[in-house]
Formats: sequence, structure tokens, C-alpha cells
Amino acid sequence: MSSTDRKTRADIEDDLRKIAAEVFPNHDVELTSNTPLFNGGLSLNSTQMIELTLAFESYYDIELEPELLTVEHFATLGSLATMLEDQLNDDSYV
Amino acid sequence: MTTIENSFMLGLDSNFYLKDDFESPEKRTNVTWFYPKICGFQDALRTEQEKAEYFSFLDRQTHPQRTNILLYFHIPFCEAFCNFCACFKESSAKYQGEQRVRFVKAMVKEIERNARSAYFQGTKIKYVQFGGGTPSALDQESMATIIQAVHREFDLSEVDGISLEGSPLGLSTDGYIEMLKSLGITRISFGVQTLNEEIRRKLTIKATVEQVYQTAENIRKAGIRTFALDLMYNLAGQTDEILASDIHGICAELRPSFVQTYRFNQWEGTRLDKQIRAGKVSDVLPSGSIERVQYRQIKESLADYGYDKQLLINFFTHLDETGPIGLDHACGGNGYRASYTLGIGPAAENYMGERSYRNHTNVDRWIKDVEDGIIPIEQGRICSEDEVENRVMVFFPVFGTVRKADVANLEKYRREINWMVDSGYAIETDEDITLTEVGRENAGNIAFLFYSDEEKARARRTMYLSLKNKRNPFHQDEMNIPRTPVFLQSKLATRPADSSTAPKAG
Repeated sequence: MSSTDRKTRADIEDDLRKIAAEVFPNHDVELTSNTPLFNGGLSLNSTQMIELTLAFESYYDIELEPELLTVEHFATLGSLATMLEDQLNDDSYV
Repeated sequence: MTTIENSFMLGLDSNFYLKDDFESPEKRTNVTWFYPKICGFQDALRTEQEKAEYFSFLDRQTHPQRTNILLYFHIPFCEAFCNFCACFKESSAKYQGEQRVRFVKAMVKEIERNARSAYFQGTKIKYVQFGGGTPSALDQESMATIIQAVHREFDLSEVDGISLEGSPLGLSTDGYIEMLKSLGITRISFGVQTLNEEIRRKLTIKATVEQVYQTAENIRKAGIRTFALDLMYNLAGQTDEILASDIHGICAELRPSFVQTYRFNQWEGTRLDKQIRAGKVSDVLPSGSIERVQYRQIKESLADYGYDKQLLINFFTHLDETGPIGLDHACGGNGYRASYTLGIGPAAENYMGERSYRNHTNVDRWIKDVEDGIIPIEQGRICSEDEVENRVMVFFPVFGTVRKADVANLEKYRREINWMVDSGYAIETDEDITLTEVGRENAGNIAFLFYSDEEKARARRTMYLSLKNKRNPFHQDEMNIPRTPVFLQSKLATRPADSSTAPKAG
């Protein structure tokens, strides 16, 4: 990814909102940066966490290292976007 | 309708147990029978050198205790497939003739290889169990050959019993039960599930109710020491009245020594799951709230019929004295310490102290490896001391109680224990921690409290890698639960990479 089309965290959050809406059409929750993905908020279970992961991997055409699947990274939409920002802007993905 | 959950994963979320909805209808899950779960990707033994190193203990070490060993034989065949079942199985019709002969020879060869290893020299077996699949789907001669090999190769002089799971289809054939009795089988169990003809038809259970009654009668006549029947609840169409009738039929008419109860799991990918999703099952549908109500109904009704001793979380008896029946081996041997289980046959799981490994799930591959003299194992890990220690607390909900003296580093679990006690799920005394009634009802959830953070992370990785590779997330086998995540069927997954809404990669 070149420096000109680097994704900002805000862009990624917008992407994640669209992806979540498509993967979980019945989850009628307004997702802000601080919305929890598990307890309360989107109320994902672990299966859905993985499904979301596979969905944004497909969307961005990336593959996460399994070690990145931590509860901390998936705590909120914001924390997930931060992790993805690092991944998407990592030079190794160029 | 039951929310489609992956019961193994449910509860692995951070702070799950602090959630207000611990007792919510949809959050009741299965107890844990195997820990830590091994993974076909993370724990794969890929090369012969890796296997040789992993299994070098068989020839270089002797068994540290020489007793308390469970032998488990997995016979992966069924005469017919019930549409709700997600267990590993193969059609017995596919393994007839030469294929059947090869399978039996491979079983005997594996029995010999293990029994003659340095590790098992001088050991005494405590319990033997045949599971599946449906072991009685094997013809009499084949089954007799395997059981005889067990007697010949292992020391069963101190065995508490030999049990075999079956189906009325095989067990009702002439002479089958007598053959088992003559070869030392002390306990037979089979699944009734329900006695309601219509529900049995919808579940594609092939054995008839008449065969169920006949088989129970034959087991009694043959003088098999104990027999156990399975009862399912929360089945589609199983109203409270039908469940009451099922309990009456089992407890008052079939009158087994033990009743084993099983909650219905709507496993994604099973034929029944697809039918329910497609709206083809219009009865009373399984639900979390019905499940909880029926769990309580079962407990009360079983007690009314005299089955008031709950020996395990799902195991009830009317007997005052059961004698040795191998309950200590419910979670893989040696009670909740789960130390030594030798599993033989495709997909069988093993514990050998800190080693935890699993045989090939593919039957043909398993047979070929045995024939070629290759160890027929596909995955194995050496568990950390922490993982082995955790087994006690992860498994204790199956038994309902744990002696504190059996728990290494008890204070490691202090936060969870205090939470259980404060929430009314358990009572702690100087000697024991025992689940209350509401604790037993939530035993599966409680087990998850004691999963280590590392095990939770491993489980997430297992699911991730399984789904990515379109493999069964439980055992990564190629069978049953052919899971395709719902989203993969969606437009999102099929969107071309250069679609206007997709970002440009790279």
C-alpha cells in the first residue's frame, strides 16, 4: 500500500462498520470507537469474532497472524481498528 | 430457535463469567470432557522424525504408576446416520469384506504395538471402554477378535469393568449380547434418545422402539452386570408431555441401571440443522429456555422414579451400591486428574501424563499407517504443567465436587472459587468444593472459568485456522460439521478484489 492511499484509523472504523453490518445484519447496534465488541455493544461470541476476522481479512486481502487474535485487540471497534491500521500500513504488506 | 453457537468456543470470551447473563437461556453449554484441546494445525505432528521423538517414551520409559489406565477403543462405524449427530463416524456398509478385515487387523496390530512397548510392560488396566460410532455395528466375529486381543495383550486382572456402547440394530442380532457377555463385557449402553415414534422418524433413528425394548430385555436376560440408556432432551417436537412419557418408558419399563442424559446440540452443518434452518421442521423447536426447563424436569422426574443419585453431571442411577463401574474414567482416566488414557482406533484421543495426542481421523489413512508400521497419529502436544494442573478444576463440574487436597495451587483459582461461592454456584468447606443445584445446571459454563488464558487463546487460534481451512473446528477432521461460515456464502465473500467498495490492497 503506498503512502498516498494509507488507511487512517477513521477509514478503517468506517470499513469495519460496513463489514459488521453485512456479517451480522441482525445486530442493530450503533458502533462508535468505544463500543465493546463482546460484553454489551456488539455482543459477539468467539465464533462471531472469528467470522468477523475472516470477513475483514477477505475485505482487505490480508491474513492475520493467529497470535493477533487477542481479546485486547478485539475489545472495541477502536482497538480493532488500531491493530488493523498497524497491519495495513505495515511495509511488509506492500 | 436455538442460537447457533459453537459450544466449545462459547465462554472463552474475556470476563465471560462476570456477565450478568451467565444463566441466560442461550448461555448454557456443555461440560468439558477433554482438556486441553489439541489442534490439527497447532499441534500437528508432520514428519516421521517429529513423531519418533514424540513417541520415544513408549520404548524408553516405563509407566510411572503402572495402574489407573483407561483403554479406549474407537469403532467409527454406524449402520445408519441419525441426522442430529455430529460425531465422527463412517458407514459400516462401506467397510465390509476386505476393508473390514483390514480394519480389524489394524486394531489388533495397534493393541499389540502398545501393549508390548516398554511403557506398558507390567501395567494393569483399570477400565476398558468401547465407543464410537457404534461398536456393535461391527459383526460378532470382528468384535470378538478385538476383545480377545485386549484380553491377550493387556493385564485385566484388576479391571473394574469393560463397557461397550451399542445400538439396538446390532445388539438385537442373534447371539451378539451373549458373545459380549462371554468375552467379559460388564456394561452395555445404548441411545434411546426418545421413545416417541414421530420424533425418532424425524431424527432418522433407524432402530425401532420394539428393538429398543427387545434389546433391553436381552441385556437383562444375558446377565450383563449393568446397562445404561441415553435420554435426550430439548429435541424438536419434544414437548414436556412427550419428555415425561420418555422418562416413564425408560425408568418404569426399560429400567436400566443408569440413565445418561444429553442436551440436544444443534450442530451447524448437520442434516437436522439444515432442515431446521430451512423451516422444514415446524414443531416445537429446540431453545435455550426449553432446555433449562427440561433439564429441571428430568432431574425431578428421574428422582421420582428412584433415579435420585447423580453420579456424574449427566449420569443417574437408582442403585444404592453401584460397585466399580469406571466413573473415575469419565474424563479420561484417574478421575478429574485425567492422567492415562490409551486410545486405539481412528480419531481416538489419548492422555499419557503430560502428553495429549490424537489418532488419525481418516479411517483409510489410519488403517494404512498401521499396516505400513507408521504411528497412526496426526496431532499431539506436550502439555505444560499449568495445563495438566488445570484439568482438575476444568473437569470437576463433571463430577460435581472436588477435594481441595487434589487441587495443586488451589489459590491460583481463588478469584473464580470466590465468585462461584458468592454467586450461589458452589459451596466451599475445609475439604471440598461442591456445586449447588444451580451450579450443576451451569456446570459447562463453570468449567470454562478454569480455562487458562493461554488455552482460550489457543482455542481461538484453533477455530480461526479451522475455519480458514474449512475444517471441522472441533477435531479438524473432514467429516460432519462441514462448517462453512455463513458469511462465506454472502456477497461480501464473493465481492471481487477490485470492487468499488473494496480498498485497493498493496
